[in-house]
Amino acid sequence: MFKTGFERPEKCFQCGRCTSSCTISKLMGDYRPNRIVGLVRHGVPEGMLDKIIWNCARCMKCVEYCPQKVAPADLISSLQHRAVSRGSKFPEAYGEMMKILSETGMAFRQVDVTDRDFEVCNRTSMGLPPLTAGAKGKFREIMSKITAGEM
Amino acid sequence: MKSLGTNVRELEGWSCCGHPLKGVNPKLWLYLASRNLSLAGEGRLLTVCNGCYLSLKEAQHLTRSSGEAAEWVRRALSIEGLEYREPEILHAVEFFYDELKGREVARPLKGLRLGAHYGCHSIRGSFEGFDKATNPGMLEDILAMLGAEVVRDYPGRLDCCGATLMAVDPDMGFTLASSKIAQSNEAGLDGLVTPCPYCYEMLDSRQETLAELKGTRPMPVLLLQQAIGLAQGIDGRGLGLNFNMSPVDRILKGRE
Repeated sequence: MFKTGFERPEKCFQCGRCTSSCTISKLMGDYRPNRIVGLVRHGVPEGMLDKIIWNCARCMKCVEYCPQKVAPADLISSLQHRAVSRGSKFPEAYGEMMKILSETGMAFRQVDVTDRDFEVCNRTSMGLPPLTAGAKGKFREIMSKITAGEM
Repeated sequence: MKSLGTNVRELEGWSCCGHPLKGVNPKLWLYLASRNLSLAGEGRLLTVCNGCYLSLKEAQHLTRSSGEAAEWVRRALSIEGLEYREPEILHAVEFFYDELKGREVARPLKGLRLGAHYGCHSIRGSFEGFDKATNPGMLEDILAMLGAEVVRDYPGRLDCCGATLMAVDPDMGFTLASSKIAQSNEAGLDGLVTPCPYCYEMLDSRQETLAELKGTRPMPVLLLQQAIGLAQGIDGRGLGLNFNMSPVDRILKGRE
């Protein structure tokens, strides 16, 4: 598997700017990106971070404020993937999203929406053409191969 | 778009950009993002979503910087007969900034104190963005071009709306959204304007929940396109303001 993020944990000198900018650290004291980076650098036992990594808000402040371009959020994203590959539990909403994606090519289903006047609306009722997005033919096949780990 | 005389077409055969699933399956993300880029060819690809913008920019950055990733992308795309292409990726803010510059709007948003909510993925990331990540100003500039009274700084201006957390820990997501709305109330804003549909959903459509759970006072929230449309004299229904769940009637009052 090639690298898909821009993380460079080996460059971290533990200044803590990521944690001082972190959206989640302000709400959860034990969530500290600099500590996650440090643990990875020094060989954290597989699985130890499996739960905490899903708390990342992906606000990218740590990426922006890091003076060393360590990209902690990207590292956390890679850790999420490693956890999923090991069969560790991940938030249910993402499983549902994968299912919808494989059927429709989109992350969310198109649904009817009720407006402020309690009128139920959709693209047809508003005179909009149907979307050209979709999961058809080869596109669908490639998605399912990647999802199954065959590519 | 029509009121500005611009020619924008739907990207034929587009799909999800893969962004929300990057952590779960990064290869699937890279394939989906690159496929959308390839469908756009060498033209200009306008994204009206922050998540898509970050996702497409990151995929392009990765394909440029990693031979291995580029090779895999090319192979995956070729199965469908597609060739990897690199369009110019445009964010809604830079697009409308250019479109509105030097133009007079039909019905300026006079007397409205508006604040900008950029949303994280329009400004931060590992690549060169369209504005300064730590102190952007283009969205405020647009609001000024629309004739609004712009509040260029308010506490929490560049903070996260909490939307990503809805899949993981909704209460924490609500805490962030509530803090954002509360700070814009303290700054005395008449409304918040955001270019991102994810942030919009979080900040506009969940205000009833926020009031219930966190006692948050309501604040009108507009999507950037709605604010532009209002200044172009398009009526509320034409802008889909009947779908906003925040008190946008306060903004409409006195304009009809």
